[in-house]
Amino acid sequence: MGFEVSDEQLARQAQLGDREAFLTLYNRYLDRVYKRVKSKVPPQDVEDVTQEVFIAIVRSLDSFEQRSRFNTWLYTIVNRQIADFYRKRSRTLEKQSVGLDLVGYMMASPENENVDQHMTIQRAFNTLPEHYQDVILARFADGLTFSEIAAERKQTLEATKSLYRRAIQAIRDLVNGG
Amino acid sequence: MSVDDKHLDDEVAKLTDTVLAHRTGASSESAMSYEQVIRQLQELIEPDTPAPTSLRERLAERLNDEWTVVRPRKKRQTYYLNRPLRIAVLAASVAIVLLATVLLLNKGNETPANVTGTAIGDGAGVIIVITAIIGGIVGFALWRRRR
Repeated sequence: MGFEVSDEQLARQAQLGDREAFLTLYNRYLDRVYKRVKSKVPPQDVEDVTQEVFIAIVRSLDSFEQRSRFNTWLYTIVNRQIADFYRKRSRTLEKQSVGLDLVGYMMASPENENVDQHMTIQRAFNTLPEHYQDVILARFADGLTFSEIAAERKQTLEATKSLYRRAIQAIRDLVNGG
Repeated sequence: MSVDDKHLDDEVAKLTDTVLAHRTGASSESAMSYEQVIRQLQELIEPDTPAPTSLRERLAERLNDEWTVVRPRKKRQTYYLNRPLRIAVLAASVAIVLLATVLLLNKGNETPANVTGTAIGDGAGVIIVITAIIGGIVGFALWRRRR
């Protein structure tokens, strides 16, 4: 059976009240969403943010219009929920200066070198322009090959590889303070 | 794009494929400075690690609950906001009211000799007109409710 229902068809069925269609989409996208969230959010908050993403999807399913691709719409929600997470967190940290002290401690402590590296690369990744983040996530989180990414982005393979290399280079320069 | 840039793009892409496939391969000198970033991204995102089973199950349950609460309401709202249906109901009720009016006017043109007890004709005429008026009122009420 090579036939697989498209994301857009499943989304349409879910909009009409088909719970199974929604759960199929959920199973199809959970890992990808989870990895995307993991790339941008501290490890202890990844599960909560992932949950918020899917709840937001249930609540706003009617706003998906069949004109766009389902994954484009879904990743917009992922980005919005991550932005919400950081907005709420910055408000909390403003109220609790202790939080900032903890971050300072983690940065300074030699036994937390892994945490330090994790935070450094994540912070650099989060400051990248969106198109750089997208091409990295397509390769690392979605598991697409460069050819598949090129097809998805409607680019040549050369242009995709070039974009990817510049994205990695941008992180390298940020990490090295360049 | 220079030939050097294109070569470097290919090298970095190839290096990424090698790292993600957990293969070892000597990267070129030019691509070597990218390797650490690629490995750090691999550690950060963990492409091979799926979402934990506990999260998958817990979230599926939570989404089922959320669906039960949110979706029936959404479905009903969509039904009420369906514009073509609203217009069709309005048009039908207007047509029914017009039909009733025409019937009433026609009955009024009959000669006094044909009058059989009511102002709008015989028993069948009364039923038709009353049904048409009730239909019109119900249609209009539905249209108002769906608006």
